[in-house]
Amino acid sequence: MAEYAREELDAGEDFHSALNVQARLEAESLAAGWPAMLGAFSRLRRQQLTGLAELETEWNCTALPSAFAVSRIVRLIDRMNPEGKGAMALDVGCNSTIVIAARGDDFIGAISHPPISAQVGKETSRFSTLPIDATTAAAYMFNKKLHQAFLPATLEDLAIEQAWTRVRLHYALRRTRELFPWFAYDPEMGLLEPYEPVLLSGESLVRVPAAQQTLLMALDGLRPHGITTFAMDKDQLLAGLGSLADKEPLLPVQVIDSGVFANLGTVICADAPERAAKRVLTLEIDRGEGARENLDVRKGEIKRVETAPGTSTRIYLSPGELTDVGMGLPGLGGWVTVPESEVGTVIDARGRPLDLPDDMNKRSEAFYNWLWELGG
Amino acid sequence: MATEILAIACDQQILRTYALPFAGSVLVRTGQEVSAGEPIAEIKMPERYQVFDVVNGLKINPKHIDRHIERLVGEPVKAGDVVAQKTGLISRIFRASQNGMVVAVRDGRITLALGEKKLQVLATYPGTVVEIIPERGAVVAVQGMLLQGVWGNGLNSSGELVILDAEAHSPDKKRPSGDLQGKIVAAQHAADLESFASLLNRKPAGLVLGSVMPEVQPALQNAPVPVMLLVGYGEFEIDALSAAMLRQMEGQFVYLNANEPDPSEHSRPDLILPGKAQVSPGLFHEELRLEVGKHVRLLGKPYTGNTGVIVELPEEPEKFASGLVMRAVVVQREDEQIIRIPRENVELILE
Repeated sequence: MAEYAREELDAGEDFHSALNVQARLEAESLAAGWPAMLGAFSRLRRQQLTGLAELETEWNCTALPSAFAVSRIVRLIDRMNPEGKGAMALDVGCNSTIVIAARGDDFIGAISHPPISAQVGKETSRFSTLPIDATTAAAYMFNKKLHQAFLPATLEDLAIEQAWTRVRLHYALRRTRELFPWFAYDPEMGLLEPYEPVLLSGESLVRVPAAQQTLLMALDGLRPHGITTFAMDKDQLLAGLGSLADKEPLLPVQVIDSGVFANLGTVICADAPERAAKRVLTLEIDRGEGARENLDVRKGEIKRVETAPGTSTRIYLSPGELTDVGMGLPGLGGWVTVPESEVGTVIDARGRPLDLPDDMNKRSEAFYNWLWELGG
Repeated sequence: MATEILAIACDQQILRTYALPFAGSVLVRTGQEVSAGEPIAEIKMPERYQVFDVVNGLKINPKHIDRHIERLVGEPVKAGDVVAQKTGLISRIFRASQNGMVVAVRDGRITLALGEKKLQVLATYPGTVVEIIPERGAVVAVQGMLLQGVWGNGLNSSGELVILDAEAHSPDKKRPSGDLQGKIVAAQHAADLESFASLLNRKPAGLVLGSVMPEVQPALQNAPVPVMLLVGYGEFEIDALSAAMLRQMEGQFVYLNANEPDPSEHSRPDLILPGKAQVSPGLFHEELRLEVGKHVRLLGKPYTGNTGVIVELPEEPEKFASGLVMRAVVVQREDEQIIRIPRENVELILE
């Protein structure tokens, strides 16, 4: 059959045969197409870049798409994760946003190129930490496309850049859901299934004045449920490690184990159908020294628990009857051990969907307060 | 980080590569003078393909198909030529409908490539061919004035340059339609769709705009004439150096190449006024980098579009209002004010 198709189509090097890509009705595995995709990528890059073929021969390797290389590390981290919650990587750059997620045999990846439109301008204005209108936001985005190395030097530019990052994350996750209908993301409710860790990279998430701002952008962009951990690839090592993986398989494992990714913080999302300001969760914090501390968290709040350097902190979650903290059922709590991290443990009780004030000034004040709570 | 280079130059050697996306024929030779619109290279391609099912079309026995096909693979055919036929009492004939070639005969089917269309790359300004790229195209050089922009809609044209002041392109003012026909028009700003439409209504051959509001972008992209932006999106004036260059070009025949910018190729849209000076193809451009005394144009509010001279390049990174720590460049603006700005947020001007 394959031979017949090869002759009929007469596609030469562009003909590739593979086994069944839809072994399950609800899921498609594109892994069978990867060798063909990598071959085509390599041929194209060799045509485009003079000298690449010679370099590949000299170093006995082949050029890889960086997103593919990143996906190798995401799958590796997923395999290393004893809890089997899956792993996710998000890369937000000026031109594209990459979403890669792996859980067991399920693997998805999407590169999206978010458009700039009046709607994106409005959305960006809505997520801005300063009161900024849609036209100003759109002008910033268009100018940034023209000058991709541009970095925000003013508070206004920074507020637009960070709001746009949130919008690009929304767009990328929505696009991923369109491509992979089984990806558990709802545009209103956010990411419905937990992934741990979530690795953040890309200029828009990494070149940020404070880690708290990165964490809040990721939190607003993903709107996760339950408990997860955010880590940051500050030095953009993911792609490099992924490229090395087939030459030096042990190296990426050793580098990851050495703690090369900065642990931003553990996030506990407490979702409860309660009115604003009602207590939804009580925490008992055990730092291993002295008396335990108690902390009440109310609906609509973000709270932060600092972690002491070099030690793990134990936190007992005691949710309200209707509060879901990702322990399996609403009202179910338990002990969580959190490692040292840059921001600490963040409790997000804002609920899903995220309820933002309609008034521009009140909205920016809310973002400001959330960021203040995180210490950023 | 590579600093962006913006050319606003009076006597600049302008080199442009015109290349086909696939291998084809180069139509020029080194040293040849070419004019704007002249083809540099071309690919001849079939206009369409036709597949004819000989077995079913002629109602013949597949075993005897070779007896009925009159042409071999690779053989050219003219319109009306018999390609396959069944003789006998009730004959059936398959003729070529256009000139072309037999490209395949397989499994009882004949594939014909019919007609011919050309994909050409054309010179966008007059100049001298200084380099041939085998099977792809050539590099054309010209000495002249060069004014680069930041964005273009992918079209190009030429004409006399006219500069409109703010009042002259106000949409409120009544003017005869088509009064700018055939001219390349430079204007400060398009504030809304109405003012842009009123400019287009005057039928210019091309538009050079200082800045536009974001809402105008879709109209710019779909404009029937080339449009080039000099500064960017928002309400910004044309910088002093670009404005001076426009004044020098005013009233002369210029070439507007509003190609889309490609950072990976370091290409930008531009406006060219070819000069009479001899092209010296062997010279290399000096390497440009941020240095004290060089002119720069600033990016980011509140300085977008301002120009100035570098007075200091501090080595140590500095903390800016946004909280980001970046390496700075200290610039003295035209109004003598000294400002500090991240190195990423300047365009180095090639004069």
